Amino acid sequence: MSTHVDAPAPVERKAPTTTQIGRSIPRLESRAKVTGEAEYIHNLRLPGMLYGKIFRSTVPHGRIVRIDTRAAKELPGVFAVITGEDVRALIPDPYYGPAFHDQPVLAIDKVRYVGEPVAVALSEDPHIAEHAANLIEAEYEDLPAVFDEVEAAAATQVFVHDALRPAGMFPDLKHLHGRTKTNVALDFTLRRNDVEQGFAQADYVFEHVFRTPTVAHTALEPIVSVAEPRGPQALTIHTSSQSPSFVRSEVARLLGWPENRVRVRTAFLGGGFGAKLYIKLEAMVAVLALMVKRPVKISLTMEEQFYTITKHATTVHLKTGVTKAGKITARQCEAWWNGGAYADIGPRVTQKSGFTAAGPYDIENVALNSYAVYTNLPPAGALRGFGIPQLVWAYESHTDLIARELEIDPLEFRRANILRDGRPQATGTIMHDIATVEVLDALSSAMRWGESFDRGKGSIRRGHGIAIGFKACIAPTTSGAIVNLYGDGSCAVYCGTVDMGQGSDTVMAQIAAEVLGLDPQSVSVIHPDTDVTPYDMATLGSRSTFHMGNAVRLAALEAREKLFAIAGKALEADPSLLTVADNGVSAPSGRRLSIADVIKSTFLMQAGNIIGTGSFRPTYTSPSQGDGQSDDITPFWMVGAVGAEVEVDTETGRVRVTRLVNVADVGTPINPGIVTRQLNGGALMQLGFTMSEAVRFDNGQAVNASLADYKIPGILDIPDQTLAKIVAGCQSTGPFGAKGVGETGTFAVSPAIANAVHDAVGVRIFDLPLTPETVYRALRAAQHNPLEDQQ
Amino acid sequence: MIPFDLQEPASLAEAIALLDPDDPSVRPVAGGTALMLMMKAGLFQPTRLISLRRLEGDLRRVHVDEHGDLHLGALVPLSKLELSPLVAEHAPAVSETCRTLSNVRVRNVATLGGHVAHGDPHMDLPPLLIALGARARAVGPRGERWIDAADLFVGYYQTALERDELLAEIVIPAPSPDSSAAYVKFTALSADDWPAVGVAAAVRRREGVILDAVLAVSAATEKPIRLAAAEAAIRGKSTSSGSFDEAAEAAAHEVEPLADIRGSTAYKREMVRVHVRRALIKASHS
Amino acid sequence: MHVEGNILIHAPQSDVFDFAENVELLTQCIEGCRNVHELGDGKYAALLEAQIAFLRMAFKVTVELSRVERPNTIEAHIAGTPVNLVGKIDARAGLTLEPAGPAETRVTYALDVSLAGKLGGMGESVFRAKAKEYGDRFAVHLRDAVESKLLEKAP
Ligand SMILES: Cc1cc2nc3c(=O)[nH]c(=O)nc-3n(C[C@H](O)[C@H](O)[C@H](O)COP(=O)(O)OP(=O)(O)OC[C@H]3O[C@@H](n4cnc5c(N)ncnc54)[C@H](O)[C@@H]3O)c2cc1C
Repeated sequence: MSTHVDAPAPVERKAPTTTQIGRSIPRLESRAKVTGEAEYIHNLRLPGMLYGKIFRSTVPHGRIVRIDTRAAKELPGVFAVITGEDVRALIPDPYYGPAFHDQPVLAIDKVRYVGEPVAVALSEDPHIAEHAANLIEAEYEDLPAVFDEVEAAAATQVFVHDALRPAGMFPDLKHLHGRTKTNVALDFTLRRNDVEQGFAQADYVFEHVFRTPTVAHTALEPIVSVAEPRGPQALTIHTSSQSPSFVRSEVARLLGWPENRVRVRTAFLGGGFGAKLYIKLEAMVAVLALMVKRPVKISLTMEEQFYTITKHATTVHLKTGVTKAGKITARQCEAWWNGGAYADIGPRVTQKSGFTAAGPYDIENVALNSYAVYTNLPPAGALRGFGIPQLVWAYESHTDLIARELEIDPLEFRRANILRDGRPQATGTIMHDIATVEVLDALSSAMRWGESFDRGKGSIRRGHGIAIGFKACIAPTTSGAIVNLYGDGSCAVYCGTVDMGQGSDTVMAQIAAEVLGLDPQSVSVIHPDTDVTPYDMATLGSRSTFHMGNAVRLAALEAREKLFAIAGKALEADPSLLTVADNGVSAPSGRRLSIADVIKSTFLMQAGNIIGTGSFRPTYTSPSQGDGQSDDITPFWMVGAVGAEVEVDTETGRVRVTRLVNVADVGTPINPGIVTRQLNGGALMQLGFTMSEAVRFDNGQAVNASLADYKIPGILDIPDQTLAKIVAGCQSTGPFGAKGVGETGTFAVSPAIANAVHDAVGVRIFDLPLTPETVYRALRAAQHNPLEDQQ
Repeated sequence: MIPFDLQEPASLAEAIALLDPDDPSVRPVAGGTALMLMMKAGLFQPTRLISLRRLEGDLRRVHVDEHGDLHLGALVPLSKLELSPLVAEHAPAVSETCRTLSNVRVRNVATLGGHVAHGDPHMDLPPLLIALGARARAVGPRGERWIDAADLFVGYYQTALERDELLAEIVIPAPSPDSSAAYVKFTALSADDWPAVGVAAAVRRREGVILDAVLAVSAATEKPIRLAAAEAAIRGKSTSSGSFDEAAEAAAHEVEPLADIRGSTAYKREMVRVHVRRALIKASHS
Repeated sequence: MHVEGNILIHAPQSDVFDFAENVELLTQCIEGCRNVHELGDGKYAALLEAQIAFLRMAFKVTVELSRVERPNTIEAHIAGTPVNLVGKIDARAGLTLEPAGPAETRVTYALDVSLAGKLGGMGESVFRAKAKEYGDRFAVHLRDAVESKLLEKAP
């Protein structure tokens, strides 16, 4: 009965009267959130529940010689202390991961980073569990460790894993199976025409290296999971997860169970940003709960989040050939992604973002290499942008440097080379519904580009800069949804999209309401529960409005068709001529019945349901091995550009961003208010990654693993003016023309600011973040008076 | 966190009696914002905490006495210092400093006493209190005594307070009409971060000449300290910026900055130089 | 974290060296280091108690001389774990002895300390600030101990 659509359906006729699309209605859950009624797994307590506290590795790379749990077990109130060996007794091969089955539930034989879970102490009292974890002792035989992504990729002696273990799911990882003596988990290659020839045609060739550090998600609600055994053969997992469907299938796989015995549910998430994807604590609590036959809860502290998942540090090497007239003839890019000790989704980041590494430019000759690298650091995964901000940092800093060298206005240089609708991207896929030109035009006017401005005096210097980035939505992925009309005409949407603050509940309600002629505020959205809600790949990569939005729309359409079939009889009208509005169905004759009455007309009382289902998976051609070419690499493209105005204090190196303008192609916004806040939120998050955030490591130990020392922007760091501009666009395959927006605001922030700093004071920063000391040192170096580190 | 004994005495005398001069694991707690961070990190595992939250009276008061001295009770929250009209009138540099001291959540809870008694060199107010010539009143089993702010900070997390003493109040002497003070805070990460360098200056000047100056630096150094060489360099000089440069140069030479995630030794030395000059300019223009 | 410093000791280089290569004597110069006993193979076990204001931290450590090159160089490796807290301390201490006159020796110390676990994640800044002080105090203790030993020897 479900509508499976391979080729995206065109936009259907719009509801005639009220339209819910393009309305900035308030978020459905606002009231519950400000009154403290909103549900979070963090607050969940179950009868008999035990709290787990994790004992973590203190060495970056070592063989486990001995784990002594005696003192911990003897502490009064301790229920159990579990190690990796105990886990192995239950599951012979307890390794998980979305791309590679490389991560053990608890360390086995070896530890691979400082902070890796080694044992868990369980108690009814979380303080006793914590005390017990402090009493566990482990002895390790130190192994040499490797931290830098470029060094690790070239290493010939030190290997984080003995052999690569790709998960069977991805055909493009198969060739890696069993590979040994390497830290490169995935090497993605793209070749378009001939870069060498392109460089030969060029008048100038430019080469630069850019770096970004490890940064952290710092979701305000730290990662939390509770597992509740339902006898020995079934399990419920309550978890702050962005990917409940994946959790179900992966935990089932680990346990050797069919998926229908694992139920995974979520509530609201206090932020996710990619930290709560795939398996985080779920496998651990599931195994523990089955072992001790009690519900088990583990909630991380903010500090522990730094040991659980981070965003890839990167080194990106770019080489570009360009003619005197400013036409880019060739671009070559090598990107190394510091994936930490476990691959998590890193190999996907490497590939799915890797193929855009040449930027949103129309370049004849392109060669890209992108390496996912294992190191002895905490695992890196997805973080709002899925690798794109790191690449844009490199290619937009590089592009600006080239424009400067050629003495061409940076905006004109970009305009001249921009990838336009209808032209092929580096993979060969023809660009559709991509408003790159409109975005640049809007940016130009928002920045009053070309007009003169106060450049400052004395120690305060001003400058402005721009940058533009793009992203392909991850593919191929599937979303399913159910729309259910109850006997009284009220409506619920069952979907696996996780509302973690991005407003997805509201948008899904608006889409269903639009199709069914309802007030979106009255639609309830059932939160992910794998026993109830259909499969959804995950809430990630700005995919939900497009994928789940389409699924919800299809489900609502199916429900509406059923409704019309019934109403046709009651209203004595041709069902295809009926319309919906204001909770009712109308016939051309003017006769009208409320939805409740339509349902009553067939169930004879307030009873029954009208259920529509929808499933959506766009088409996709996977890139061919070797040259990375594909004629259908993504269902849609996102474009985001940023303009920044800065003030640099030349005596201290401190940079203040005074104005930040974000321009985005988001297709047709369903809820412009939410879209604007997503753009600004993304931009401000990336502002932190630009100005101050970096996880600092000392011999593999994160030394600033707290919000006291890892500084995210505060209210005083927000630019005086932060603007989001939406260019009018339409994603023809999207629900009502919409595309995703959760990450677009992050893309171009960092290089726009660095380009503005260059404009202000003439120095170029190649490594993020732009801390005052970094900028100060660059200023001193430019004056041929480098700051010496004398003792 | 390991369970510990929490006492909530109702009087200062009772509180003091509960302290233990020989046991460093017994501590008073006021707002708890600093102590809790250490407890959560496992760096401090108390056996007993003596909460000051039930203590009333002068400990919570801001007032000006008959000499014009400003009295700030140890349990006054930093947000009250920020907003108090009395503080704004008698020590405007203190109100201003509080505005960028951490964030409003912390300021609502953190107390002046905890701020000072913690002995953390990364705090904003200590150098200013030194520059303003403030004194602290400590109360212990042997009665009370006065400690000059300049003598209060003896090392990293170490103050001149004995383990069985409590800080009761800070007194800022009435400013003379020819004096003015300023604090400049330099943060290396977010704007509401702990300072990477904090410099306070109090100057007395007449007809464009600096009669004397007190300069103090914090955050870059192991404890808040006075900058004697810089003070000497400026004494008797004109308020033109040339003499400020000399003082800044002297300051850069006399400090021994500690490197940390907020800056290297060399960088912090430069920032001391810049901010000593800026503090002097700010103080002599206010 | 890395700290360095130096001190002038009024004793001939060979006397300083004799003293410093004796782990039991050398560890007496480290504040809070007690219960030193030999484990064999030149390895020693000790308890290191650090007190930073009201913060008290105890470490079970092993001490080992990793390099002894008369007359200039002595290097020690100190590794251990804190008591009642998940963590790790790993320190490499190097002493370089240079004659600064007939009966004078300049001792330069270099200390590289890495901390892991709770101590590293949140206590780093505290220890970083104290490391220099500890190093300098060690140098003073070393000087005093060597000089007083020399006095004992003197007729
Ligand atoms: C997120 C964050 C950001 C911060 N940023 C800044 C900043 O930018 N600038 C800045 O200056 N500070 C900053 N701080 C530090 C803040 O100022 C201190 O934590 C606060 O002032 C301590 O006050 P409290 O009352 O909470 O002290 P508590 O934590 O209660 O106590 C601190 C110490 O003082 C002792 N103590 C408390 N009261 C007394 C008393 N009356 N007599 C004797 N001993 C006493 C306690 O035993 C303890 O050792 C920040 C703190 C946090 C948590």
